[in-house]
Amino acid sequence: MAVTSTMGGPIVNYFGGHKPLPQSDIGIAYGLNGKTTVHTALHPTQLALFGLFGMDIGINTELVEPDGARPRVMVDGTLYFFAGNNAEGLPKGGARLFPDIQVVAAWPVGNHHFYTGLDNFIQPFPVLRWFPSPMLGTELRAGPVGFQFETKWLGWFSDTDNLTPSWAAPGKQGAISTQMGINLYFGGAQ
Amino acid sequence: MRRAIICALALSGSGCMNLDFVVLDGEDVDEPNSADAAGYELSRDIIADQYIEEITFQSTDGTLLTGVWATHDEPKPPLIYFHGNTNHLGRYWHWIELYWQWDTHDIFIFDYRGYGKSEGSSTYDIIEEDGLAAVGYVSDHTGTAPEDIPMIALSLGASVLVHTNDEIGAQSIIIHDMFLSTTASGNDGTGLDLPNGWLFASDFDNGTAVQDIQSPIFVIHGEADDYVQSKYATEVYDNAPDPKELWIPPGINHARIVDDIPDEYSDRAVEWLERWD
Repeated sequence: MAVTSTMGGPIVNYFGGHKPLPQSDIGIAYGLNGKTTVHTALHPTQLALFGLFGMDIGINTELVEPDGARPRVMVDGTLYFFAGNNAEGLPKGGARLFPDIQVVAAWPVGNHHFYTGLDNFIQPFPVLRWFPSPMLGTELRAGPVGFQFETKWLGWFSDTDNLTPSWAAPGKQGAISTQMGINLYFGGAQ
Repeated sequence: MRRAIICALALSGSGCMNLDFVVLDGEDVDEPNSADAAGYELSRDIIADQYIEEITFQSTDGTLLTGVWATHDEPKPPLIYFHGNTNHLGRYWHWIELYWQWDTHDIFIFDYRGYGKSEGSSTYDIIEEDGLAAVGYVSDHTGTAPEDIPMIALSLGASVLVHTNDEIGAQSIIIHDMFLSTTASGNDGTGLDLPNGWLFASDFDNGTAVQDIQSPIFVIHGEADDYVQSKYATEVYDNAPDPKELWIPPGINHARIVDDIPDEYSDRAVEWLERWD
């Protein structure tokens, strides 16, 4: 079992400069066995700043065991739920579900992990949209504590030039996201 | 190895905070920001001091607003300018200087509530009232019917103007670099189709409002606008009733037309105004 937390997000120009959005989540992960973990989290920043309730629930499992240079291959499926502003009148609020599927290859180095993969964020309605995003990351372990750093290139196929807000990305394509996390493990590594 | 979070969601929500401040960026001159640290001190380089008059007038609810006249030796018909979302009227004084050099109109520019020296704080619904009040003031002050007053507007001011012109006429209007709605801007900015109420407290539905305007409209939008995409101009133009005209000058960024192509802009704008004079 682990308590998980992350902070950070896409880098965008706000309040006088480019910086990661202050997204956050805090949750728990529970290992069902040596290969499969279920997890859930709340998103406090959205709630505190914007009154938007957000949570997610998901499961990941190991598809391929690591062996020498061969990485561990994992797949994760997560469903995000956000809802807010149900007040009368315009503009209207509402609720949204966003499925997300990640496929990750991870290389263990001692107790640490380095990983790369593809994240697939999906907006199923009102218009179907799919945002595949390559990612790189690491989790550095110090005893029961894991320090995680991850970067993603969101929507690299989308021209984000001439947009407000101004996202930071190579060639003004998509947006670069950076996140850091702290994971606290109980009962052995997950 | 945790999950991705899409970019838009940290900006989402309502109730505690919203993004209307992106649209309503008024600045009290007593608390100037880095964009204009000196507050506004109107230049006298082109318009001499004797032609500049700062006045106050009341909005519909009594809030005291500030405006500035740029006049000539002999009185000329009035023209009202609705400025953009940044700072205060001083930020847009070079637009007034250009219009003044046309030598066709006495120009009136004013600050919405919460902007410059005007009292109060800005919200979308309220600054619409300020637009109506400004037209009323100029009409009363000059004895000119609103239907005989041309009006020019930039960006946020264009939003105020189209929402004013669906209630009170003008001789003709010119709008520059107007956004379609906060919904369109939010969706474009996030790449998603989020409930607009997550992001904004106001709709700013200019695309619908322009359907009900009463006056001939000239839609101008810089093709290289990196703040409000120029594609909106076509939809605004399509929604507007006749008579109407569209100009998307290539290579021009947001609110830069006066700086970059003043002569071509003046030729086309003056020709448009004369057409309805």
